[in-house]
Amino acid sequence: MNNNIKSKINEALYNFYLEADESVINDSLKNDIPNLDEYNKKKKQIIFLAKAKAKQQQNAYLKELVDKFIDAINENIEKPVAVLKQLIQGNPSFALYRNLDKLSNDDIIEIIKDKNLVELLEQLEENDKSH
Amino acid sequence: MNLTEAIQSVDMDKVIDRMNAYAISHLKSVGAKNFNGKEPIDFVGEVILKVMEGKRDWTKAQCSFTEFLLGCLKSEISNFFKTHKNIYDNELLDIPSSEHSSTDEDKRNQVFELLKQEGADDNELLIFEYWVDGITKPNEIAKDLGIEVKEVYNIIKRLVRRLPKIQTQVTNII
Repeated sequence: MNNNIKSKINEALYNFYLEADESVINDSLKNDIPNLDEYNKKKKQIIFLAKAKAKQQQNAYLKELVDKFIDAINENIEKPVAVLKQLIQGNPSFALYRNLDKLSNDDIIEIIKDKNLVELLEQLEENDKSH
Repeated sequence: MNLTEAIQSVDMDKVIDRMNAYAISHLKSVGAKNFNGKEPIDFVGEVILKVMEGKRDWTKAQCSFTEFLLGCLKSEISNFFKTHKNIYDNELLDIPSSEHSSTDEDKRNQVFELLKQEGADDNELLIFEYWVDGITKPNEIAKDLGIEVKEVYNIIKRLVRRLPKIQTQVTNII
């Protein structure tokens, strides 16, 4: 039981704050935050930074994928090219595109930007490993 | 859903409020007063940045983004206490401990007694009993009791305010 009660209290607190409705959360913050202005300022900074980081991360993934696809097109590596062709077919703006050599970086970004970039990267990395 | 989509799918302002309320409560429940000069909101900010930098991997998560962030915060705070174990053990040992040889049932009763001394009513004790029995979700408790979950929230709110007051003694008991 030693750590049991403690961990159950922790678990209960976690579940409470996960489920509790907004008014409950607001009430508890009203009682526990001594300087609301300072808190709101920090909150804004966190949101700004989080959005910037997410965008940065997204751009890094996009760049990495574009580089991989361009390399694959230039070197005619079968699997990534097949993946790209499949993505092109699923995109109405590019569905009739036949000549991969003509694709610009921006075109590739347009084709992949709404996809799960991490999954795509993993897919291509799997292919790298098998070569 | 990638991170950019995830962050846009929720109201981050409200998610941070939720995370902060949890951080305050979790940190208070430990009974220590200083957390290396950090405020609860600093723990929240650090966790969110770790997620955004991919140090905590959202892409593999099987839950909502809010639940994921709150889960990361829970584990981050636990890690903080593990890393600073010596500091917090010393702080908490200031109060002489007793009953080291108590049985589980004794420990449970002692915690109940402490809660009563701090003014916990029967409803709070009942909820605490559910917790100790491993039923920790307000929804499940409400269903089991056949009452509105809002009522359970209200009872937990009172209980949560009482917990820090008994925490140092509880640490010595359990």
